[in-house]
Amino acid sequence: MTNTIHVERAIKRITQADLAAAVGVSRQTINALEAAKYVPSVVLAMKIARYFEKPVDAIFELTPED
Amino acid sequence: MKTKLLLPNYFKTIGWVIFVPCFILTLLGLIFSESEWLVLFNFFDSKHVFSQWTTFKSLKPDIFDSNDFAGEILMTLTALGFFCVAFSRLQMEDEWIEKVRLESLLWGFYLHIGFFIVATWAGYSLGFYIWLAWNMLVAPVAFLVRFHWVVYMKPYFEQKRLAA
Repeated sequence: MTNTIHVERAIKRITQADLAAAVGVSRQTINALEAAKYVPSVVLAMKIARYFEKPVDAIFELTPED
Repeated sequence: MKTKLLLPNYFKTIGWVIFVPCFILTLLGLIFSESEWLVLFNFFDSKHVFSQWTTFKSLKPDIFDSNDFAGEILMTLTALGFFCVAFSRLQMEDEWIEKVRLESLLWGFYLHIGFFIVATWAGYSLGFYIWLAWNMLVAPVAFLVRFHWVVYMKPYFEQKRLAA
């Protein structure tokens, strides 16, 4: 699964730590998500999408391996 | 990890304070067990500096006369220190941390089993038991190293690499 969290963060001009605090996870978790090393739970994906005011599939996209 | 099985976060600091010195003393005791110059701090030897305070006389001298418990105390503190460090919550405990914690436990266990199998085939007699004694430390150390590497060190180096 890929995601555009890095892009969305750049648009909003917020740091990983800001996003982490807003959705209630650690900064390392956002780092792992952006590096596509971790697939979030549905709850976390929805929290991130809600924070950026976009639908979940506008931020997270399935890859052929999924 | 959203479980009641983890200790509160402040146990981590307590754990490091207990674990680091006790682990170093355990290692020194095992490595230099035959050494003359380290005998003062080798708590697995009865000639160490705290010997007179940690030796208990038996009430039944016909079974055994006395025993020095410094080694037992040291190993217990090392295990308790490890327990506090490994199984206390981080300040922000979330789903990724939970995943890393479980993966690191698997790493520790796999290495432990691996060393045990190697010991079974490569060692015999006293050497086998010495290897098993060392193997006792493999699972906790592998867990701690892997967990802290992934949670703290790896993101730090990645950030540094991206910033450069």
